Amino acid sequence: MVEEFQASKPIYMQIADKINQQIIRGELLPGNKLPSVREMAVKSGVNPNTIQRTYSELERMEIVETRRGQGTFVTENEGMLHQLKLRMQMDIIESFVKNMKELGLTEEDMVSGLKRYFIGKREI
Amino acid sequence: MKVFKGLFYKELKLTKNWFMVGIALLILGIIVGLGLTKYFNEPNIFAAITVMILVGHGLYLPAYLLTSLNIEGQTQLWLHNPNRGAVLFLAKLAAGFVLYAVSFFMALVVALWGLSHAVNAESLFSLTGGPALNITLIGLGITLGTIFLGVWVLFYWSLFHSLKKVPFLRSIRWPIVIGTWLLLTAIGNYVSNLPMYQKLKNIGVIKLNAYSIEFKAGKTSASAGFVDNAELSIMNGIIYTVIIFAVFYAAVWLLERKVEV
Amino acid sequence: MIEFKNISKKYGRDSGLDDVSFALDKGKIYGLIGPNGSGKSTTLKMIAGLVRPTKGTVLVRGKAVDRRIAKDVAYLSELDMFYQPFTVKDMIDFYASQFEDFRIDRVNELLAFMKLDPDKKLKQLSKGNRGRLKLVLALARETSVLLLDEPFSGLDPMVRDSIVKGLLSYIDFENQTVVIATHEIDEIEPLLDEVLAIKDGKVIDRQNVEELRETKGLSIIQWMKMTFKE
Repeated sequence: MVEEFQASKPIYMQIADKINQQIIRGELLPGNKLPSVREMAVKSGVNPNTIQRTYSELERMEIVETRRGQGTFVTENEGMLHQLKLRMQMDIIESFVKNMKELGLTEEDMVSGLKRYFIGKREI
Repeated sequence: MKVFKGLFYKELKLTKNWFMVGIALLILGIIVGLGLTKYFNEPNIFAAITVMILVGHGLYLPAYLLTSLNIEGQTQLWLHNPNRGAVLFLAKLAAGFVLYAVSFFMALVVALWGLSHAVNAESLFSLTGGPALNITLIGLGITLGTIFLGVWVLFYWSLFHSLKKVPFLRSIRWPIVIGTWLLLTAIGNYVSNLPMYQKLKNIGVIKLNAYSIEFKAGKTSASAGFVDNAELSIMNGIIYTVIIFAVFYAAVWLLERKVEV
Repeated sequence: MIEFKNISKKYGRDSGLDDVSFALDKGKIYGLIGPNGSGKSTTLKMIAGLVRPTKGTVLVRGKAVDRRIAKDVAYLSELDMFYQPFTVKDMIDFYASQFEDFRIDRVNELLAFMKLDPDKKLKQLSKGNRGRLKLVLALARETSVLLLDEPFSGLDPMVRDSIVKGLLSYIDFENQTVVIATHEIDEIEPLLDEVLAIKDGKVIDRQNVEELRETKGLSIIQWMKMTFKE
């Protein structure tokens, strides 16, 4: 089935996020070949120009590299991939912190809240 | 050639059933004729019916084209085609003509058989010219007539559909088509009665000296009847040829520029 | 690739199109959206040379359009196919004979992709399969312009999905201009580069799908609701 996308974010970014997640989870390994633009377009039901933009963006971020006549590959530069992981963690933490701040919570509240959350989880 | 062939076969596939119905009607006519002949014990009935069927073939091509064009007219999507309008029409004419030829040949055989069993039939064939010439002329006359009418059908159909998408004219397209027909008929009659036309007609007349069918075509109608000492006018032939080409191209012009989907 | 210059089309008192001007580029997929009777179909037919403007000029590849632009334009009508006695193969043979750019090798692939039986008669096909066949016929050609009029209308989600995938697999997205007229935008939003909104014979707005998300955080459906409410 054609994928659903959020309205608030460009589709090319959403696809880039998805690929990044796959890389971090290890579903895509360093040196692995990404699907061709057309394959990716068909798979996700998305305009090929959009996929092209996703790949350009990932290339700009140095997460993938395009080899002439061969296709697009996940970079083998482990340092870049490590950075990617950190960056995505940071993104999630940032939005978490921002939401909590909007509720008027302090840093201490957040830390203790998190601790309580994990303890609660373990008990269940 | 590939284009024409493709159109031609499309046409035959599309009208296969129509052709079958035509043949069925022909057979039905023969059976009814034979039945009546037996019942009244009057062999001339059968002969008369077969001749009627034969002459009725003058309407074969127009009827065929109307059927075929009306199938296309449901959506007009046949116009989504990069080839010339003349080719689109010619393929229809050609396919219709082939079916006409088959049906006409069958009708002709039956009519000959019917005539040969009719009372006093000898008189027909003993007349000048002999059966071969007579049959050729009859066939030629009806065939020319049906082509002539067929091309006019293309024209009126195109005219009718040209008016379909024009505001203000849309609701009165029937009156317009009929009005055009009346006007053209009147002009035709007027011209054919001019002394000059009569003189023209008499250029290159061949006296056939045969008891034959006369092919008399008005601008919009053909009539056929037996006349003595038929003549063929070469000039007349040329005039009608010119008319038919003009009408055909008028139809193509309308199809290319005025008919919309 | 496609240019409308001050196009008007009158149908009696109704106006088909009212002084419409726009240009569409090569290698892009456009959505033409608007309520029924807004002028979407008329616009497509005009690009295909099947309807002539009352006023103005339509250009395709710089040429003024007439019926024979069918050479460069593949047009998928919203109307059902009506050559009742034809089989799928008959239809394909006919198309192959009429269009020089019709690629027979591609057709077999497309038929397999759409799971169509070449020996089935058109009248035996379900509506969905006739919709698929129409797309097969359009996609088997190598044209600069591909026009699709309501390709999803009345079809179930399975068929819609196969049509979207078929499109994405077979269009030449670097060179072909694709225009899809539809009132069901949600299916195909991720497919489109740009969207033109038509209402009462006028193009009332035009948006780049990704830009709209980036700058306003809106999907096309949300934007449409705002555009057509006014």
